[in-house]
Amino acid sequence: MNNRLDGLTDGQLSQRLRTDGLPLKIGCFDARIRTSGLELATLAHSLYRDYSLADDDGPFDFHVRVASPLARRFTRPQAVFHWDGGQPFEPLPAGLAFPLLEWGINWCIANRAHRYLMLHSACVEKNGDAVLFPAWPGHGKTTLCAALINRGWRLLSDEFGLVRPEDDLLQPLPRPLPLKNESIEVIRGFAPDAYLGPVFPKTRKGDVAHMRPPADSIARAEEPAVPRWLVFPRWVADSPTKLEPMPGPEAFFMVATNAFNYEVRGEAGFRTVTRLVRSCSAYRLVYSNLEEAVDAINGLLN
Amino acid sequence: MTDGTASAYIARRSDFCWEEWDDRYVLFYVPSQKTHYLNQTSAIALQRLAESPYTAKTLADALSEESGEPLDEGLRGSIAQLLQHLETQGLVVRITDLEPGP
Repeated sequence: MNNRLDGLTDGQLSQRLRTDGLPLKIGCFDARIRTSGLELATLAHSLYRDYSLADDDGPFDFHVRVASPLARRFTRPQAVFHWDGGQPFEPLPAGLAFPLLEWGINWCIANRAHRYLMLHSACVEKNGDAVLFPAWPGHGKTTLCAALINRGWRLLSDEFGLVRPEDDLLQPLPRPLPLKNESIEVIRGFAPDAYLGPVFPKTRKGDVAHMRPPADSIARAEEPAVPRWLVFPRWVADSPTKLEPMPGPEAFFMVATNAFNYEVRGEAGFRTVTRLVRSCSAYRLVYSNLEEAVDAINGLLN
Repeated sequence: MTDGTASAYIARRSDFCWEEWDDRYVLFYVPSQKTHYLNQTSAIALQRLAESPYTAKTLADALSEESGEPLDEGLRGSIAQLLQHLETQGLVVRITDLEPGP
């Protein structure tokens, strides 16, 4: 029996989202997702088709629901994100229900993954070795990550670098990649075969379109990788590509300040960051040309 | 209230986790759970203070002797400022006020 989401028809998926909820494996997390008053089945089907279903009976790491309040379904309908009974965000227009669901799931992960050192970082892997791209929003990490996974790298995550403190390996968490603004057309041009969902205009982060992760990355979501390189990317318009070594203390500072839970983990966080920085080669990458940036990252393998 | 130059300071070795890269140091201070980035002089001063109490004067003497730098008012002033900064950060404690020197 196909235990993947693409084993369901649109109708079955829609019904599960509206009733008992869809039990979904998202990397190392099991989530139950429900919707009410909103039709997200077709989009979820196309972007999540390669994901496995979780056990119907749970347990679940989190329960989420995106709902349109009945009173607001007829004039300026809204989407509200619910997490384990709470409502952590302001409502958004109903047309932004899917991006809201995606941000909400990330928010749940950020609140539930404290057993890992959780870096705000994209991560990709090849031949068992991984590159982390810790960066603040707007520095081009998702775009670079999207490019690399269309050139033979495995997606571990575009958002969370989950470092397991017990063995210092990276735990994969492949999720749809939210491309923003100019990056949408850049990736369409760079990887015409990549599947991108619809563009959601004028979100708080500008225009957003989600790229479906490669099926192989999802299938290998339980296969950890060894962190080898820390690359701190920055997209700068018209800049030549520069990949320069970064000294250890600076890399330490950058990793620690890009960790969601460095302070929560206390001394254990300090120890994990230290081991990570000592075991990786660290670089600063400035780029504007995506092909050149991919070549520079491929060059690390040599 | 004194300016602290005659006070002795001390640090507790067991409160520190050190990492050293060349001449730069990263310090995790267990009681506050905070991370600090130190230059070599600050790190050596703090390591000294984790061994025994120093005043600004005795610490300046010790660092001058260790580094070979001439001991002058500039160095003494810098060390006094450093101690106050370390105290503000909670990394050292003042243990007693001594009589001001001549």
